[in-house]
Order: sequence, then structure tokens, then C-alpha cells
Amino acid sequence: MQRQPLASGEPPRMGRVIPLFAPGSDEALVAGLRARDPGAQRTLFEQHGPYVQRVLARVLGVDTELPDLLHDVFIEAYEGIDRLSDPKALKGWLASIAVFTARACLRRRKRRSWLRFVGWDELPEPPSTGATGEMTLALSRVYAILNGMPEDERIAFALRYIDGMELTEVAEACGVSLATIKRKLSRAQELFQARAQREPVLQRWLGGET
Amino acid sequence: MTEPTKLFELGQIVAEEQDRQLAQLDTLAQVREQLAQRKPRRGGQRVWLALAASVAAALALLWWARSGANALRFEVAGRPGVSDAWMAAPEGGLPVRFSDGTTLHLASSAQARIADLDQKGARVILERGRAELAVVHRPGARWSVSAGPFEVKVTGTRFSVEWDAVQELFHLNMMEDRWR
Repeated sequence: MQRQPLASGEPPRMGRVIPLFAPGSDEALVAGLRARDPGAQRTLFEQHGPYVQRVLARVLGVDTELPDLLHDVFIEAYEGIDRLSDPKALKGWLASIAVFTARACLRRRKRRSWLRFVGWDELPEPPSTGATGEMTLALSRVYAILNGMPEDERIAFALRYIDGMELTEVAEACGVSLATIKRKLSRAQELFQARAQREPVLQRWLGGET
Repeated sequence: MTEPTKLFELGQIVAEEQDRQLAQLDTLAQVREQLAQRKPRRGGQRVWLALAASVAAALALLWWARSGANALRFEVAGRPGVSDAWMAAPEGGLPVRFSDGTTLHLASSAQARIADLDQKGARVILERGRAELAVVHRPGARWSVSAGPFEVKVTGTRFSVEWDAVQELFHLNMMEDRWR
């Protein structure tokens, strides 16, 4: 193929060279995301999808809205990547979007709760089948209690005690100071323990050493 | 703030059970596909489905308002009549009155039914006997009487039809004009 000479007076054609995305550090990933590279977007999901799903599940429990919320978190991340100032904070930033999305979901459910004939925590228990059945029952009772707690306390409790995040990570994900998250956790702990007293299946995890 | 160890133990058990449940779901694959194709999430699809259902319901309501709701009604001897139900006139005859003022009178032992009732008129199917019809003239009115192989179409007139199915005799007696 022969290159066509530019006609006289015609300005030279300008182009932009976009390098293909090659997975590597978080900095490279964020650079790819900022360039709206589909490869970088896929990589973000592959690397962090399971983590974000876990954060959502810890806060909300495993429910039918999980796929929608996970989708929302990544769309928000793709579109809002320019707001991330430090690429090294990518994982924590995704956690904060997940927490924000989960909180919005909880508020939406609360607003619509008057439409429900049966409350989230009033549904019948699934049948117990041995050890796994007992675990399933414990899981459902824990979320029944969390469903009755204020959103901020619930989120803090779920991230700290169920997901096992460090206090600083919980504070970052919730977008508050360490002191604030400690107060929220203290309150959440009191609320949870008071309500768990009424749940026979949770008795063995109450009280004891600190 | 002191944190009870047992709460962490409970949390760990809950997390393990939750991870077991998550492993049984195909959430990640589902969302991966949605993101790759930039499909609207199911919630979005639900909104569109709800909108489509609302539009369909509005159209159905419009259609109902334009057709069914405005269709003529009729009474048989003072009681609400039913389309396509056979009427047999007793001794002394059977009066039928339509909501546009049109009247039908079935003579003794006549049998008929009302079909194709809409906002413009109806079709009177005369099985046998004599029927007298006084049609109120309205723009676009469409009335007809079927008797055996005969059909009388009218827009506003007063006439009687008699049909003897055994003898195959058809009588049409016009009292006022406007017929074809």
C-alpha cells in the first residue's frame, strides 16, 4: 500500500496513540481505567469482583439483589475513576463504593418496608440439617438482628466482626474517622449483644472473654 | 472499646457459611457478562418491563374506553340483556330497548339474539317469528337484521321482519324509510 502525500496546505493529520493495557500494578490498572480501556475494566472486575461481592454480602447478607448491586458498584467505579486520587488506594476505594451502594440499598428497603406484609426478620427459618443447618440458622439470625439495627452501626459491625477488616479499613470504607468508627462499633456491639440474647442459636457466642 | 473474641468467632462462622453460599451462586459470571456487554442490570430491565406494562395497560384502557365502554347496552323486558343469548318471546311479545333509544319488539313465539353489539349498533339475528325494529338515526349508526339467507341493513328507520324457517318465507314491512 502506498502512502498518499498530503495535499499542499492540508494540515497534518493528528492522532492519539493508546497503548494496549497490560495488567500489572494498581497504578497501571488505574491508568488504563482512566483511559477507559475495556481491558483495564475487565481486569478490575477479575481482580476485585470477588472482594466487592464479599463486602456487599457481609453488609447485606446473600440476597437476590446482590448481582444488581455488584454491577452498580463497578459501573460507578468505571465512571468515577477520575475521583480516585491515589491509585494505591484502589481496593479501599472500591470498598467505600460498595459500602455506599449497600447503605443506599438499606435505606431504599427501609423506605419501602411499609409495603411488605412480612418483615425481613419474620420469614420462616430454613430447615436445619446437621452442622451446616445450624450454621445456616446462625447466619440467618445474625442478619435478622442486623436488619433491625441502624444502617451505620450495621455496616460497621458487618465489616469488623464478619469480614474481619481492620479498624482503619472499616473507617476508610465508611468514609469516617477512626474515632467515629470506634464509637459506631461500640454502639453496634451493644445493640447486637442485647438482641442476640433472645436468640437461642447464638447463645454460645455471647459474653465470655474480651 | 473492648471487642469480645467470641463475636469474632461468630463472625468467622457467619463469613464461612456466607462464602459457601456465594460459591454456589453464579453472581460473578452473571455480572461479568452484563459489564462486558454493558447490559442494563436486571433492575433496569424491571423498570422497562414495568413501563412497557404501563403503556400496554394504558392502550388497553383506551381501547376499552373507545369500544367496550361505549358499546350500546340493552334491556330485555326491563332486565339487562346479554349479547348472543337467545331470546324467546312469550305470549304477548318481548320488548327489547337499546341504550341509544332503538327498540326491538319480538312478537309472540319469535326467537332472536343480539350479536355484534358495539357503539354503532348491533345485528339482530331472527331465528323465527316476527320482529319490529325502530332504529334511532345517528351518524354512523349500523344496524342489521339477519333472517335465514336475508339481511336487512338500516341506519335509521322503523320496519318489521318476519321469517318462517319452515316455509322459508321472508316478509319485510317498512313503516319509515332509510334502509338498503
